[in-house]
Parts: sequence; C-alpha cells; structure tokens
Amino acid sequence: MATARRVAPDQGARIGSLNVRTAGLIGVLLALAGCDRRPVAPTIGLAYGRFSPGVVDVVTDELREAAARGGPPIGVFQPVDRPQSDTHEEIDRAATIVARPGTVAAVGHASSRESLLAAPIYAEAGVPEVVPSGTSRRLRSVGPWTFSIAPDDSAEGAFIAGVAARKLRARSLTIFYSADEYGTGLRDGVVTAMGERGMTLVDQSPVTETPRCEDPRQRAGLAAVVEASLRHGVPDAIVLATRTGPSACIIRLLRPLYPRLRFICGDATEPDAAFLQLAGPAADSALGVVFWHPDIADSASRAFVTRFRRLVGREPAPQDAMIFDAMMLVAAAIREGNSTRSQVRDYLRALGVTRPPYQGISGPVSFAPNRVSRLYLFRVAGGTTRLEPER
Amino acid sequence: MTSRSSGGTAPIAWVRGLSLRGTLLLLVLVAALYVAAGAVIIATRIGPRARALGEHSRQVLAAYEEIRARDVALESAIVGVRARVARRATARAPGADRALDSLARFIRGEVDSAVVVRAASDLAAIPQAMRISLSRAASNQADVSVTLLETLAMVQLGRWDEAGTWLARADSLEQVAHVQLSAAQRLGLVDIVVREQALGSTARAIATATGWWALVGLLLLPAAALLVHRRFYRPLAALDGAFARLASGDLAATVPVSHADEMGRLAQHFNRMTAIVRSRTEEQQRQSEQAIAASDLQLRTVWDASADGMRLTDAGGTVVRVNEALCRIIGLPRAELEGKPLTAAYDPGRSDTILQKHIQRFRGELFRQQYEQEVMLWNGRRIWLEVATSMFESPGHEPLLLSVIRDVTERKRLEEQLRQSQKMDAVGRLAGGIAHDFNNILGAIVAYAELARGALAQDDPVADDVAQIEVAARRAGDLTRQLLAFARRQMLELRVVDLNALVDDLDKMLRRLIGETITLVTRRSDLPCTVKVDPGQFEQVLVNLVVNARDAMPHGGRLTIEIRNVDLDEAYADGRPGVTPGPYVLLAVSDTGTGMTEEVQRQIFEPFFTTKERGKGTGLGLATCYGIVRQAGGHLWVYSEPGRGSTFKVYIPRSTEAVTAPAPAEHHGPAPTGSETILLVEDEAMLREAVARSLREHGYRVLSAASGEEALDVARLHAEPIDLLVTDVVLPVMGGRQVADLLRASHAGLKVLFVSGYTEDAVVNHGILEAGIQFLPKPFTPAALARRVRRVLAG
Repeated sequence: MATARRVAPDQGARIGSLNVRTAGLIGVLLALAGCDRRPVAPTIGLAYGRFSPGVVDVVTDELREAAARGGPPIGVFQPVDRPQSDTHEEIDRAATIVARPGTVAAVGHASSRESLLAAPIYAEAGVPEVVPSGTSRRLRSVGPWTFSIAPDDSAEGAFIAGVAARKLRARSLTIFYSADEYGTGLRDGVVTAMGERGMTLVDQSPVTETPRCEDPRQRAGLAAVVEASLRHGVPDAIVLATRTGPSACIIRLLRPLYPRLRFICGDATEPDAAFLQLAGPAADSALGVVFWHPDIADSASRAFVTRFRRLVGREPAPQDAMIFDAMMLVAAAIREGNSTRSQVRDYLRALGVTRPPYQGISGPVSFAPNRVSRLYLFRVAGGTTRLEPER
Repeated sequence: MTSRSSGGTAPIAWVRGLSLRGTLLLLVLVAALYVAAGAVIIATRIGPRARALGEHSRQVLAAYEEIRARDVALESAIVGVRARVARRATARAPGADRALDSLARFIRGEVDSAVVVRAASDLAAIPQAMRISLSRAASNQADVSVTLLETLAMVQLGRWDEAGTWLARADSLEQVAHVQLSAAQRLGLVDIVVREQALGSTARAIATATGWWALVGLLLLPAAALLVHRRFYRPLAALDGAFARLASGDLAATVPVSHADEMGRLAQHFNRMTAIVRSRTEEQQRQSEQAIAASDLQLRTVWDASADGMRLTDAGGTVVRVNEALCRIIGLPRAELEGKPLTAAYDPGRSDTILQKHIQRFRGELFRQQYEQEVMLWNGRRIWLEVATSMFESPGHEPLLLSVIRDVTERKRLEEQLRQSQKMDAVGRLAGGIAHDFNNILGAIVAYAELARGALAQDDPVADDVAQIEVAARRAGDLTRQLLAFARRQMLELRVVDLNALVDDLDKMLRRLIGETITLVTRRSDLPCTVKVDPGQFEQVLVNLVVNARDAMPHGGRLTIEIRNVDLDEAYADGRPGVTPGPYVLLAVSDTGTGMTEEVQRQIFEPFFTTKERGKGTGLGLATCYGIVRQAGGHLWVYSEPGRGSTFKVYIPRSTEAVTAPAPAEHHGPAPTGSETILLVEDEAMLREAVARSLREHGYRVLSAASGEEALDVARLHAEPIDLLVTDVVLPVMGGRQVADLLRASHAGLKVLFVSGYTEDAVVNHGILEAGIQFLPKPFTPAALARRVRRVLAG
C-alpha cells in the first residue's frame, strides 16, 4: 500500500529532496493530522511514482505565492512508492489519490500506458485525470474524465512524417517502436501520415528496453532486431518511437554503419544529459520532437526556466513544463471557485469549448476536439539540444 | 364529528378531507408507488448486481480469454522459433524466408495486441487485482513477443547461440506470463465467487425485502379496502338505500354526510333535494288539504245552501246524507232521514216500488237520469218532484247515488195556470174568428129581417115570424158578443169609475137577481176604488159572478161582495203569471155554496163549460167575465173547496184619474135619413147588398165595392163628390184603413165610418178605438147604421 504525504505550500520545495521513508512518515503524520474536521483544501494529486519530478517544487512555490496574494489554499498530494513503474503501482497510486480527501484532480501518469491503466480508477471516482505528456490517442476515449494536454500520437506522427519529408527529404522510413501504447500509437500515427504523404515504410519493429547499451550482451537483442530490420532495406531516415535508452542505443549502433542515416526521435526520447551520454557523438544525427523546450523565448517559458533553475538547480525538461502546465491548469480551475471534482471536471471540459483555452507555457491548453497542438523540433549539436526549425 | 387534536388523527383528518378524486388518485398513487417501489428495489438492488455480475463475468472472461489466447499463440510462436533454432536453418535473404517473415508478423501482431490497454469501461468490471495481473501478463507477453522477435532477428542473422539464449529468455518470460495469467484467472474466479456471493446475499435480502414488502402490501390492502369501503361503497350503499326509499315514496329518506368529498356533496345534494321535495310535497299536500277543505266547505255550503234537495244513498237504499233543502221538501229533520231507508220519506204503500227503482237506477238499468214524478210523502202530502240522479264515486269509497230533488209542485201549478191561460187565449182567438164571420152573417140576417118587417103590414102573420128571426138574430148577436167578450175582442168604452158606486148602482138589481134565499152582503171600501173600465162590461162581470154564486147556492146562503184597494207585491206576482205588481182594486164575490173541485176550478173559465143542468146555462158566463177582466188588464182568480163555497177575486188596476161622467144615451128614435153619397166597401156580398139597400131606403146614394181596389176605381169613376166612406175594416188585399187613407187623399172632406165584426184590426187595438175613428161593430141593424151614418155625416 502506498503511503502518502501532504505537500504544504511551504514544504513543497524540499519534498523532492526527502527520501522515501521520511516522506512517507511525514505523509502518514500529515494524513493523520488531516483527519480533523476542518475543511480540506482542494488538492491536486500528482501521480508520478517512478521519479519525483523537480517541477513539483516550482508548482508548490507558485501555489504558495498565489496563496500569499490572497488566492485559495491548494494542496498537492503525491503518493510516494517505489521508483519503478509497475502496473500494480500505478493502479495503487491512482486509488490512493482518489481516496484522498479534497482531491479534485489528478495530474499524471508518466506515460500513456500508465495513464490508461489508471483511467478506470479515476473514472470510477469522478476525479479528472489530467495527463501532461501522454500522447496515445486512446487517452481521449479511455474515460470521460481523462484530459490529455500533449498532442496525441496522430498529431505527433504527422509532425514527424512532415519533418522527415520536408526537412530530411526522406521518402522511405523504418520505424522502431517501444512495445507499449506509446510506441505502437506513435508508430500508427507516423505510418498513417506516411501513407498520406506517399512515403515508403521499409520496416517496423518493436524493440525492448536496453538498460545498458554499451554492454554487447545486453544490447544483443536490440542490435539483432535493428540489424535484421535494415537487411530489409536502408531507409532515408529512421523514426524512433522509443524512449531515451533504446533511441540512444539504436542511434549509437547505426550511426557508424550508416553515416548518412538520419534519426527522428519521438517525444519519449528526452533531450537530456542521459540521452547525450548514451548516444554519444552519434546524437548529432538525431532530431527530436518535444512539446516544450527551454530555448523557447517567450516570457512565460523564460520565467519558468528561471524559476526552475533557481528552485531545482538544473535545466527544466519538456516533461517538467508539461507537468507544470497540467498542475497550474487545475490550480487555475480551483482559483476560479471550482473546489469540487465535478466543478473541476466541468471547467476542464469547457476549455476551448465554452471558455477560452488555458494559456500554459507549452502553449494554449484546450480539450476541444479540433484543438491545435504545439510541437517543437530539437537537434543535438555540440553536446546540447537546441530548437530546430521544422523546415 | 368530535375533533381530535392528537397528531395521530391528523393523517385521518387529512384523508377525510380529501376529495373523491384525490382519494382515487391517492389510492392509485399509493398502489403505483407500492408496485414501483418493489420494482425499483428489485431493479436497483439485484438487477444491477446481476447485470454487473454478468457483465463482469463476460469482461473478465473476455480479458482472460484474450490474454490466454495470446499466451497460446505465443507458446505456439515459441515452438516455431524453437524449431527454427533447432534446425539452425541457413538464413536466407530477407523476404525469402516467408515462414520466418510470417512468424515475425504474427509476433508483431501479438505485440500490438498485448500492449493495448483495454478501455476504462471494459476494465471497470474487472477487479483491480485481476486487472493488475492481466496487465502484468500482457506486459510480459509483450516482452515475450519482443524477445521472440529479437530471437527471430538472431535467427535471420545466423546467430544461433544468441538465439538459443534469447529463446530461453522468451520461455522464461512466457512462464512469468503464465504465472500472471494463472494469478489473474484465480483472481477472476475469486472475484466472480465473491460477486456471486454478494449477488446471492442481495437476492436473499431482496427476497426478505420482498416478503416484508408483500407484508406491507397486505397491511395496506385492508387499509385501502377500508378506505374504498368508507369512501366509496358505504356512501354509495347509503345513496342506493336512500334512492330506493325515495323511489318507494319515502320522502324522509336522507343520506348521512360523512365526508366533504364528491360523495359527501352528492349526499348533501340528495338531502337538499329530498328536503325540497318533501317541503314542496308537504306544501302541496297542505294546499291540497286546504283546497279539499275549501272545496268540502264549498260543497257543504252548496250542499246546505242549495234550494234543491240533495240526497246520497247507497246501493242498498240507505240514505247516507241529505241537505236541509231536502229536509224542508220532505218535511222531516235530518236525523229522521240520514241512516234510514230511502222509503222512509214516502208513503209506505209505495216503498217497494221506490226501492226497486232505486236499485235499478243504481245498477244502471234505468237510463233516465232526470225525471219528474208525483209522489206521496210520508204525511200523505202529494208533491211534484223533479229528480236528477248521478252516480257519485270517489276513490276508496263505495259508489253512492246522488239525487238532486226539486219540489216543482208550485211550478207545476203555474204551468197548469199558464197552460190554462194559453188555452183560454186560443179559445178566445177561435171565438173571435168565429164571431167575425158570424157577425157578418147576423148582420145580413138582421138587416134583411128588419127590411122584411118594414115591408110587411103590422098585422101580417109573417110579421111575427120575421120578428122571431130578429129575436133569434139578436140572441145570436148576444152570443157572439159574449164570445167576443171572453175573447177580449169586444169594443170597450173605457171610463174611470168607482167600483163602490158601480156596485151600489147594481145593488137592487142584484138582490132581485139572487132571490130572497140568499143574503147579499156588500162590503164597500171607504176609499175610492177607481178603475178605468167599460162600465157596461164590468156590470156584466159582476152580474155573471153573482148569478154563478146564486146557482152555487140552490138552497140559499150568503153572498158577499167586497170591494177594496189592495197593493199586489212581487211575492204575490211571482206565483201568478201575467200579474204585474202594483195598486189594484179588489172585487171579491164569495158564496157559501157547494164549492168546486180542483178539476172544476181548472175548467171553470173555459167557454161552454158548465156544471149546470142542460139548458140552464150557456157556459159563457164565467168565460165572459174572464175575458172582460183580462181585457181590462185585471186578473180573476177562484178559490174554492167542495162544500165550502167559492170566492172569485177580480183584481183591476187602480186608476189615479178622476171619475168620468157617463156618455149621454144614444137617441133611439126613428132612423134619420139623408141624401149624401156613400161609398160602401164590403167583401161579404150578402151583407153589402143588405147594407146598401137599407142605406138607400134611408135616402142615401150608395156606391158599392167588394174590395179596396174596386172602391178606389168606383171613387175615381164617380164624378160627383162622395160624402161618406162606409168600409169594412177587414178586406182582402187592401184593408179598410188603407182604402180610407187613399180616398181621403183624393176626396177632401170625405168622412169615414168603419164597420167590423172583429175588434182586433187596424182601427181597434185591444178593443180601444183610436182617436177620431168612427166605428160601428157588427152586427148592426139598418136603423143603428142609419143613426150612426147620420151622426158621422153631421159631425
């Protein structure tokens, strides 16, 4: 059973640095303390168990400042469990969140699969599930109260196919994808867009996670799949609908063999230090898709980056921005007087329909069927990632 | 109704206050709610659970089967890969090994299916633990699939050792998936069992609840029945009974008003209606009773006030009721009649006949319902009764015979008098008519007899015969005058006389007339008893009455003549036809003679009726009296009883004029002569010739005409003046009066003498001559004619 902690606005900045045991103990104490009869402040459940995102500190800081300005107190509740993601853990985490008094919305989970697994829990409890970065188009139909902020895999697939066609002049593509909802979804999105553009799919193959790419024994499976796939033909570019590890490993494997081969990574390949380290110099041959990037020059992004660097001590990842937008979206709903789950649901459902989209740092957030999504392309150059024009 | 303040009575009061429609709606609503609640309980308690169990089982089974099928497929794929690894078949060019490619596509498909997360709605029914196990199994299957694909890639690349290692890894992952799948299966079964237990528990709870619910329904049913009974059946039954009572005529029927609903209002309306009907009926009954009482009073008033006797008799002839008038008619008090036999009022000798006729009349065997009969009463008195009978029937009572009885004895008597009077008039007219013609004949006989006697020598033996003819003719003339007197057709010379004086003048003559055996007593009035009569005629009346009295007293007696003034009133006049109330002079002649029976009295004034021996009376004496008195405007009555004498009462209208002196007696010397021209008009040829001859013998020039027309022609043709017109009044075609008028117009100074044997004509009205008219009644002698002609010509 997962334990929980109550994140007070003045505590949020330090939560990320607490160990699990301490945080759990604090959570139990706070939960016991919360058993009084005082009104419970609207609380946002944060469903990230695999890691403790640093953006929580930024969010709590923002909420604290807002409360100091006279805004309503808003709690943040993040169940703390083992860092590994597991089906049981995701479901258990969702159940913990919905059982939390005052919870008016949940932000998470980390991926499309986990969000989909947890969706029934939230649907049963009537808790709106705001998914920051899940792209599976099935998130839009999995339940009535699941709201996905990120563009779905159709939009991302079309973006990737467009980048391949326009920027890389590629006519043929091979797709490697994770054997999960994300990978298959993005694969389908890309294949559909390729068909619309008349591009050729050379091969497609699922790949597994490779914890250590530098170890030949551990990467043997991945390497065999990639090598066997390329025996079907060498495409103009390879689309990697995989996470950071496999993406970096595939780029590192193929770059020496096919120097002209270009790679386009999906949003699960995060342009962070780990990617650069795993891919090595071959990373320069890769383009990546993100929903937000620290290089975005608008004031909101710059302020977010500044605050994030100050509070967390590193560069914010796109995932951080998406989580920030998701949590601040719920906070905005609460500030507008929606203190119950149903009110927050109605608020979210009205975005882009009967009320204007929420302006997040990743762009306008809307849940209308015809919403316009913002996608950015990054390139690795000189050991860092930079925004790259689509054309 | 006693008010109840306790809270428990509030619902009852509330229900009582409900309208009928509200009650019906309440019943329907309660019933609907009852049924709906039961249905809702079952539907909400067991239905969703049953459906959820079914859906859950279906979804659990579907999810499990899906992963189980994938597991089988993956096992098959592992077997296939293992076979390829075992064969270590040389890898061929990509796309050349179709089996390998097919296997790879198959495994990729398994990957796709394994990674698909079922929809929330599908997962909702799957227990969370199973959902986790299934998800883990699917994830493991995806790993197995990817590992198999990597193995196949190694096979394609000919890396058999690595392939073997990877295949073992796939096997191991497959085992893990098996374990997860088994766990999911176990969890699913456990969940189904748990849900089934819950469903069973719910079903038992539902059964229990249904039982309780049915019990509640059973408890509600009597309440509903009681409500229906009280609100519907009982008021309806009360109304039904009240209507039945009303229909049977019981206007006192009322319906208790127990509620203020429609039935209560209906009951109020009914009670109001019956009250109105009762009130109106009582009012009508009261009015009817009053009307009956008034009618009965009127009937009794009419019954008692009726001048006609009334009698109700039953079928047996017993008198039920009589009125006072009948008591007066019968001469017995009411007590002697009512309750007694009908025959008690009559002569016992005719009881059987009366009773028999009554029974026949009661049975309708006698059709005459109005009749007159002469009866002899219980006291022997005979009276005439006019009886009208009719059946008197009233509901609930035996029929009675109503007899309306009127004593018409007096009317009978008056009718007899009238009839007698009418008979006398008829006889008078007959006598008058006979006298007219007879006078013409007598006139001729007298004229010729006188002419013949004048032509004979006095000692001529025929002269006596002629004298006898003249005597007989004069007697015949007297007879006709008596007839005319009776017929009130003789000429009267009216004069105001005092009857006292007239009786005094006749006293000596009357005493001589009655003889010495009869005592004449005259009772004159001290007051003048003036009447306007023909004294000669009235003397004749008195003489005739005295003679009649004398003859009634052959052995002597007393004869009383009484004269006095009397005033006849209405009462007297009512019982006597033709009598006018007013002042009269009574001349009563009474005798103590033999008297007369009623039969004789009824005929005493008829001409030629006499009780005297043959040859002793003409039978015209009293008839003449009657005629003279009637012609004078008076009345003559006789009162007589056999053996007790008779009284004749003559009533003459009293005159207020002064007594007039008698006219000088006409000179009876030799008949005067003359030389004037006389136009004689007479339709009787023999008389015309006799008259013309006698006038010529007296020196006159006579022009004769048989008719008026002829007289006019004679007068026109005669060139010389005509001095006198002697004309019969009664002429065919043109009467004497008209002839005289025409000739006067053409002959100025013409004098006229009318002659007639009949007084009731154009110049004589009721025996009274018009002023200025010269008249000579037939028969007349030539001398009388000559004297009258001379007087007219001289006048």
